[in-house]
Amino acid sequence: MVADGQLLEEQQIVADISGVNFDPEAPLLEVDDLHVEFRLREGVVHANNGVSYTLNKGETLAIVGESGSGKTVSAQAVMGIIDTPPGYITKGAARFRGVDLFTLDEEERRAIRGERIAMIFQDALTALNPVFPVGWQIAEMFRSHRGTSRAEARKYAIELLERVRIPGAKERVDSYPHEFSGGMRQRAMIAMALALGPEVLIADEPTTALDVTVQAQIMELLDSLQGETGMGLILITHDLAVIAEVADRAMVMYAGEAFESGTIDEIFESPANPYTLGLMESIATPEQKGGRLIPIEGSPPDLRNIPRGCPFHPRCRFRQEICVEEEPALRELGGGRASKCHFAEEVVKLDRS
Amino acid sequence: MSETRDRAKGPKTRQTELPGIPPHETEPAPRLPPLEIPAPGEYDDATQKEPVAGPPASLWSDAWADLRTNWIFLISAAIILLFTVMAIAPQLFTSANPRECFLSNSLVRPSAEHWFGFDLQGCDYYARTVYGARVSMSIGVTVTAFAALLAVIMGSLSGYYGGWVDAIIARLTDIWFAIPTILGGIVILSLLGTRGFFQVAFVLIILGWPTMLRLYRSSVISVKEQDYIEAARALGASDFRILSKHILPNAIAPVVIYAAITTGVIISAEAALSFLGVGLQLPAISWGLMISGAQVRILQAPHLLLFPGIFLSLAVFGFILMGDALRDALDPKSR
Repeated sequence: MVADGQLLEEQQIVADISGVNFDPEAPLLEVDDLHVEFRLREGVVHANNGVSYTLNKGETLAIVGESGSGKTVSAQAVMGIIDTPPGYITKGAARFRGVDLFTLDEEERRAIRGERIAMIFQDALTALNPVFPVGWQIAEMFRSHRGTSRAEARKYAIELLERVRIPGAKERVDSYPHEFSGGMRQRAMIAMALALGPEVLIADEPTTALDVTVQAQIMELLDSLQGETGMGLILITHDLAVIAEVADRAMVMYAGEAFESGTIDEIFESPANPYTLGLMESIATPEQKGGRLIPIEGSPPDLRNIPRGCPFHPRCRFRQEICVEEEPALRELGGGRASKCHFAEEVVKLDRS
Repeated sequence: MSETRDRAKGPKTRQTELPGIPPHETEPAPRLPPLEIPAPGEYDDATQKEPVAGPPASLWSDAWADLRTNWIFLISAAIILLFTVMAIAPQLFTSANPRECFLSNSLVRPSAEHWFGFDLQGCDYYARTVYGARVSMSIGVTVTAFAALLAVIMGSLSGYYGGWVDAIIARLTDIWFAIPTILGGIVILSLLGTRGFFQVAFVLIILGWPTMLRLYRSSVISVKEQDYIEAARALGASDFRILSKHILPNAIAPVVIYAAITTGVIISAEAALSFLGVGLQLPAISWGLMISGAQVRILQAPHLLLFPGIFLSLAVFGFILMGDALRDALDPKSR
């Protein structure tokens, strides 16, 4: 097994992408002022309006927000899997090790996908090809990217299934996706994403389709795999409770923009944005038993027609005149924290007990 | 986890009751015996000893298991097998030479020795009917195979890439759809000087592919939207690999079903063209030509029409039945 493990690592040595000079000193992933829009018949949907974040090696960044806040789109833009048309990246950069991915051609981008930046999806049942055995699909990663022989690739597939803790990997390698339980499918998907030893893993709502106990296991698995490999992990979720244990930093998104960013502890301890506060309050807790959940009233804005001023003002309970008139900037609050609110300081000081 | 929940605790300042409605009295929960909580890892979903059930079942192996017990499939397979063997080795069915004719036997009725009688030229009609299978089967299979190949290639491009590629291909098929197969066949074939196997096959291919293309194209479009295609792209699969490994196996089923039926339709189209005198030409041996020759003497020698007609109908029936059986097996929802 030890020898096999070494073999797998040899396979995982990153392939050279000729003509692209990565700077090993640069941050792993740096998204800068990303603007993405979808030009539909019904109008232009502004899905991302200046999203910026940095991900370092070994770090876990959570991107949190409601459905339609643009979290997935920002990840798809980084992966280069936005369909054009209708989707267009109109502005901004995504620098991987100092190289702006948006300036690369399709062939170079494809060489980065899976090799250096990989992604897993919400529903692993639909993200696995139903007509091929799970092991075959993992082996395919090696065969297509590395030209590994069929027999050898199969061996790596079994090893990867063991690594994501699927028991009886040898027997299950020939099973089809529908023969796996939800948790095992997500594990298999993770195995596939990790096959080539990527430096960045983007997990798009990896636990949303799973039940609560399995959710915890998958998060634990991601956490420990990150510890083993030192990769950067981006966790996209709408569920704050999911990320509390594993994320280092979080970015809260609303209407295609970052509303707040900071370390996970700071954000949980004292949110600096009314939207974050609202998200926090809407988590069900045992103390509220018998009471009502406190939702954020209203619904997310139509991204074709984002409200003037602060995009959150129609739903904000602290709304003032200025919020309707003037859009707040994402302001640094010191210590790596930032919040897009005119009254960030006041919100931080809010007594929440 | 509990720490998280504490931190995420909501404020108590908000009203949780509606005015005028008395607060809801929560009854104290009955005390339950303490739960035995398994150690972490023990309740892991992956460690549950789910039985690894038998050999893994794929769509195609499932379909095969289905087909083996389906009598419609067995009958159609038997018919197709019979005609295939007849096409490859007609000698197995008759020792007579279909081209050895004696005018003295002209239009002799069927008898115990010569089951199907003789035609106008005095050739053994059974032998000719058996040898006629070769043309029909090979035209049917060749045309369907090439049309399917064209449909898969063009349908992949059109369905997967969309945009102007799709627009061009779609308009092209629109134009083609406007041409009725037989009419188009008559026009094109009468322009060609010689009309042998290849000319007829060619015409039927170019007239037959648009429907299959449409079918495969729409199948590609629905498969393309699936998450596993996006996942494959996100993990660095090339377009060719996505089309061949991820889309093709998931999108081909309707084409397979349609191809079986098409084979039958093409066989009858060849017969129709030959009957109309624009298909194969004598001295080729084909059911269509035989029926064509028989029509003028239908009262005098009805057996000349009957036997090739039965063979033709049976072969077409076999393929259409096969299409039916395949549809049932490949689309379990229709059952």
